Amino acid sequence: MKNRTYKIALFAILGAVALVLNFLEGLIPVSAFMPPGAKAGFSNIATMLAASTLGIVPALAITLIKAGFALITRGVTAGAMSLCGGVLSTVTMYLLFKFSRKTGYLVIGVVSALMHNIGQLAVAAVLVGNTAVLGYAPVLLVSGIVTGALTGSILRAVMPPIIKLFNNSASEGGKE
Amino acid sequence: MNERKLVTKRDIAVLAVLVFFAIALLLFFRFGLKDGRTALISVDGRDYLTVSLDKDDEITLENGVKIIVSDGKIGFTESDCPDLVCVHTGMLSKAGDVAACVPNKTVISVSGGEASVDTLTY
Repeated sequence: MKNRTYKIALFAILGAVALVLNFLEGLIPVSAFMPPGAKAGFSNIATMLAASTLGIVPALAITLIKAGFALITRGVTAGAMSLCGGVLSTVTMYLLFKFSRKTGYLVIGVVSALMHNIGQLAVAAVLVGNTAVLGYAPVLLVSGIVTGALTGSILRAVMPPIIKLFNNSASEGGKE
Repeated sequence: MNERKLVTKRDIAVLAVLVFFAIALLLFFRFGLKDGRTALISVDGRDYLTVSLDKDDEITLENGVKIIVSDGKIGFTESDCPDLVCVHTGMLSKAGDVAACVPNKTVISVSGGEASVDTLTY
């Protein structure tokens, strides 16, 4: 994908998709499948797509947009947790996409979900001034593995058609 | 061309280790913990109050957070935070259980407390 215009368009679409997924996953009620403090992390699919196809800067920009959304809709705490978890997770997934061809989508999803949770827990520990919040770690480890495997698999399924679509339309546009 | 796979052989090893740790932790936290006897409530990093789980109680903190002790269990019942992770965490009864309200900087952690009845009565 070389055309700059198409990159900008894809970035804008991914940013919007990230926000919509972020909002939608907030509608999932707390349950056995979604323990307190855990999130499905569907918007991570958009971030992973950005990190793997557009690079680190657009991916971090989407993370920033997500954190801003969390700040506006759910307050300073949620914003700070989203930002810190998001940056840690985005940098990790970018490095995996860039330097480790042998790491599959599923594990990239799991590792970035876990890094997101680690970043969030670290912020939570700083904010409450108490390491007791690490009591949430076991639940977040389990939910991170499950949701990360899910988002990684979804990414594997949706990525080729999206890239193909953009590459095709980009080359068609070039011909005309 | 070397397409990235969904799962590679090496990934299976990574996943196996992660899943093993997750299951071990989950089993430990489900079955390995003893009943708690007291709970420490801390606000803004400072120990605020230690309550016994033996006596039913209702506590309202200065930051508006409501905590209830009932039937040997303790938990958040009300808070003005947007996500209500604290309330959804539910009622805690095992030593080591934790519930936290990050926006209100309030943490409940259950501990075994002082010597149990067995050691007191020999």
